[in-house]
Amino acid sequence: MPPKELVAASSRPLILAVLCRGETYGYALLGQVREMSHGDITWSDGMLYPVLRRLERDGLVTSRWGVSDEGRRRRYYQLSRRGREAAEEEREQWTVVDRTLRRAWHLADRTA
Amino acid sequence: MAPGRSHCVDEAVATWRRDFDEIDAIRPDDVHELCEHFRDIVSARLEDGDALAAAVSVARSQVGQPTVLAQEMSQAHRPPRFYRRWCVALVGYAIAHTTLILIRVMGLSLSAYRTDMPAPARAGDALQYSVVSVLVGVLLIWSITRRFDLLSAGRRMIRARSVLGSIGPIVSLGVVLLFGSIFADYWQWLLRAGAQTPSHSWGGVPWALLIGIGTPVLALTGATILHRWHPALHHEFS
Repeated sequence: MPPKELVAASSRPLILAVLCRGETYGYALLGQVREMSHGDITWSDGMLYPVLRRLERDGLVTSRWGVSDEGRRRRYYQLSRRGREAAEEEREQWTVVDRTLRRAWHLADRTA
Repeated sequence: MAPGRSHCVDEAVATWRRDFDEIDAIRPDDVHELCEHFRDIVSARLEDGDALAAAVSVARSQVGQPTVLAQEMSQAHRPPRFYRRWCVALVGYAIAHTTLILIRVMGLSLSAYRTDMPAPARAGDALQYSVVSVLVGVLLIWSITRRFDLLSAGRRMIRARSVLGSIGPIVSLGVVLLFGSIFADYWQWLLRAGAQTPSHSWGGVPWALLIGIGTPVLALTGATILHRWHPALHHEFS
């Protein structure tokens, strides 16, 4: 299980990546993250919303109030144009980190 | 979900929502959203066969304490550091600028300025005062706010490096200087008006206030546009 610092650092790119797939609401978004990580990444549910607020405040995410299938008011989130650009930037940055780590581990394995 | 069970979930959500009643810091829309999330967890657990009490307990621990949530949400709604720093810098600048103009209007000039000087001399004097007041005001307040930031533990070196490595403050200062020089024209107008009124007159005070407050408001607007437009500034200050 990743430490909370790493989970916190990855929350923004993860949210942006999930929202790239389309509009969704908080609970469903968490469910998708849990599913994609096979349960390895678990956020405190309540902490999702402050992150979403910050993304919204920074103009990366927009939200609207809609009505769910059960007839309840729900807040739906989607990426803005700037959010898509930010998601792409995050993807490139994390890919660099991932690639570097893989190479480092590969070399470490060969040396060992 | 069966109507009876749905009623129980409603009750559980209503009980949880009451914990937020005592907290002013959280917005009603945020409470509603959190309650909906709480309801989703309870409903899912009930679908999985949990008892209501167990489902509520899980939802409570998963969503978190209302006081902590309210605090987090309140922080998330706060303007980014960029805006806070700008607001502090510009309020300081407004006070400095207005004070300088008031000194001039009230005839308490600290320099050898005289109202019988020819117009070009007054214009040059006004421009000089504008540039100096803008530079001193913004640099002073900016550095003070920076210093407070640097005092926040642990990240001193990172922040110092980011300041040195960033063009953000320079560009933002340029915006203020731009507006400052535009308003230098109004300074000239004000000084000409002041020349026609007796010394120690209050006639120029409203104009002094208007210029003193108007300049930073326009500067803030310009900086905001710049901040929105330029991604590097966005990352630097957010």
